[in-house]
Amino acid sequence: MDEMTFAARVKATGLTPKPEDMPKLEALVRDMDRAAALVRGPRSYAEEPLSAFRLPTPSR
Amino acid sequence: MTEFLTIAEASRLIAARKLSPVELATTCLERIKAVDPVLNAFLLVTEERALADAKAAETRVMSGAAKGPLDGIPIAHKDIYNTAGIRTTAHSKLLEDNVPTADSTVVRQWAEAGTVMLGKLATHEFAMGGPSFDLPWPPARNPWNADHFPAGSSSGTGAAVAAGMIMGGTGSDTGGSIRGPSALCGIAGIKPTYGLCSRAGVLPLSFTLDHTGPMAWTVEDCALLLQAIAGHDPTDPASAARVAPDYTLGLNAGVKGLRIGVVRHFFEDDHPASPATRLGIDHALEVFEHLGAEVREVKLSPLADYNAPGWLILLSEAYAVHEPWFKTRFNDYGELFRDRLALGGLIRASDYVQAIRRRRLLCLEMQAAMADVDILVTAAQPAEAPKITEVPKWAMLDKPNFTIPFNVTGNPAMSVCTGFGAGGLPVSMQLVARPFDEATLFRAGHAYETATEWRKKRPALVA
Repeated sequence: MDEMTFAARVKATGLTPKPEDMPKLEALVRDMDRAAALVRGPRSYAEEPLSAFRLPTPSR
Repeated sequence: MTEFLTIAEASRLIAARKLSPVELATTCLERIKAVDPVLNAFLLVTEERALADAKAAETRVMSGAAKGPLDGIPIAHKDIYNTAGIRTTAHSKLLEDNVPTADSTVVRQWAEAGTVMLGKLATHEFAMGGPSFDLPWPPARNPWNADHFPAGSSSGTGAAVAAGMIMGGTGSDTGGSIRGPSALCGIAGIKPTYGLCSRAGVLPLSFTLDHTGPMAWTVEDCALLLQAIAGHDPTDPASAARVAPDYTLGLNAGVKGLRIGVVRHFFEDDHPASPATRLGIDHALEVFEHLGAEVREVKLSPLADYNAPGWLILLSEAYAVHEPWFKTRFNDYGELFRDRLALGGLIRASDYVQAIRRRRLLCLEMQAAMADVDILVTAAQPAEAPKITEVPKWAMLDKPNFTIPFNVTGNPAMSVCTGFGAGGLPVSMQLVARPFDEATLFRAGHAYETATEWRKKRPALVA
């Protein structure tokens, strides 16, 4: 993302970080975008349960 | 009175009428006056309440109406737990004058068990922003060396227990906030299974990752404290409809025949831990084997795969909690919390949803990995405590942490001290069990503590 786009994103949230923190914040958001890419995967939405913790009963 | 007692020891002495709860509370209050000006573990000392609680406990004990093992035991609460009529601030200017009208469920449960409440403890601001030097109160410091960080966010509880100012205290754990300070302060602390202990009346950080739990000097003491708060609470929508077992029953059963899986790649490859941390874990595994456990290696997805959905969920949910105040009182937050949480406002809704979907797969992976082992062992912290002035603003995102995987999956996980590293600062390991199998965690942790000498050493500041 370019600097203007990032500044616009921050502005849209209503946040007012210090100008000197903006480069680090932008870098962290880039890291988060990379982390978000990690969690995407090919999986049917029909498989989604209502609760992440409701697991199948172990077969043993 | 013996200089330092565990809850189990004090409880036996109180029941035998050899130790007065009033004398015990007075000793703790004197210790707070002596060392807390250096450690800043307490935001508020409730001396009058403590002495009233202690006198009531003493009356019950002397009249043969003691309530159980926690009657007369000095405790304190992290300052995100609501306490009726007593200020609850989250260590933040935003709640400087907040006085709740009702106790949180856990506060009420410990009070009903007869505990003696000594006060409210320092936390990272709203359980995430710390160590901060721009809040109305200073940050807690590490009793093993006050120049060092006690970790957080349950920083005051870690410091107060390690320094013997209280025998146990409440923590909360969204990404490691019980296990981190327990590890760096050299005590025991358990994040129970998601849903086992109520969060009702505790200021939220992240709805689906928040856990409440106890911190104490020993694993046995954690078991006693957890017993009083484990179980269903209809006022917490995430509370599990389960009855807790008696955690003390199997405590002395040992680890003979226990199958232990080591998640070695977490602390050797994914985020290499300090030599002392690795040495402590290797020594603990030798102890377990010597005691009859079977140790094998277990592979999970890389630590980063657990951290990615964990932080996306945590920051998104925390931002949702704080968004109204962020829009109106942005500058009343401390810089660390404000700037950490700002990330949450920049996460897209679709990424949050994908993180939740990924979380489900990681829960399934953890369930499969634990099919053939009873507990997992890995690191709790990468190294000994850093200096308190050298913790980076976004430290929690710089490298993947060892604790958030078990907030993501909901498994019970506990920090146990495994010795001391550079400069005499504690190192630790993390034990993990299957959901709702806290009893096995206590059994393993207690066997290790009993077989080693680490529980005999207290910080020089108070020893």
